[in-house]
Amino acid sequence: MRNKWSLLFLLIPFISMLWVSSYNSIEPSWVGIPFFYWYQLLWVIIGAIIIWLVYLLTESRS
Amino acid sequence: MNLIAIGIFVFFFALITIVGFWAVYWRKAPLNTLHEWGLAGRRSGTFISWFLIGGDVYTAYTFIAVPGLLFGAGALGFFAVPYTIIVYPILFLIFPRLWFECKRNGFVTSSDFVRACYGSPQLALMMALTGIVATMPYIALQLIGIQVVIAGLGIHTQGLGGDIPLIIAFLILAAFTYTSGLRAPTLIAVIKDTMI
Repeated sequence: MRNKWSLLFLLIPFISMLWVSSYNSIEPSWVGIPFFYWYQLLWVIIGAIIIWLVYLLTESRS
Repeated sequence: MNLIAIGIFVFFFALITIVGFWAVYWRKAPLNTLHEWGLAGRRSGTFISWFLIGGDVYTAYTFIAVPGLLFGAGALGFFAVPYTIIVYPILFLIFPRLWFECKRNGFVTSSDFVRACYGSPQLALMMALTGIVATMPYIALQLIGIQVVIAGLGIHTQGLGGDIPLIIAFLILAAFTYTSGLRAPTLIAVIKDTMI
C-alpha cells in the first residue's frame, strides 16, 4: 500500500461528525432546512469523496 | 383496504418469489458446495456485489424505522446519518483486507476466518453462535417491517390469525433462500435497489 499517511484523511469525517456542537444550530438554514440537517447530509457526500480520494491514493494498481 | 396498493404489493412479491426460485439457474453450478450456496460461487464481481451490499445495508430499518423515529422523536432519529458517515471509513479499512484474506484462503464465514486466525475451533463456534443470536433481533426487525407494510395495505395484522400473511411471506423467502443460496438475495437486491 502506497501513501499510507493518506489514511489519516479518514479521520476527517470522525472529527466533523462527532463534534456535534459545531453544527448544532438552526441557522444558516438552506431552503428552509435547518443547518443541523443539511450540514450532515452534505457530509454524506463529502465523506464519500474522502473515501474515494483515499482509495485513489492508496490503491497500488492504478 | 386499498386494492391498487395490494395489487402492487402482490405483483412485486410474486416477481421476487419467481426471481428467488429462478436464481438457482443463474450462473448454474452445483449448489451442494458451501461456497456455491453461501457465496454464489465467489463470482459476483464489483457491480453485482455493490447491489448486494446496498440491498443488505439499506433495509426496512432505513426506510421505515429511521424515518418513523424521526417523525416520532425528531432530531434524535438523525443519529443514523453521522453513524453511517463514520462507519464507512471503518469498513473501508477492514473489509478489503478481510475479503482478500478470505478469498486467498477459501474462507466462507467469519468463523472460518477466526478459526484460521487464532487456531481455536471453540472460538469459531462461539463466533458462529454469536452471529446467529445477533441476527435474531435484526430478523425480528425485518419481520416487523413486513408487518407494518402489510398493515399499511389495510390487512388486519392483530392476533394469531393476523400473523398468517407474515408467516406465508417468511416461508416463501426462507424456501427460495434454501434452494438458491446467496444467488437469490443477490438477484433480489438488484430489483430492490432499483425500486429504492
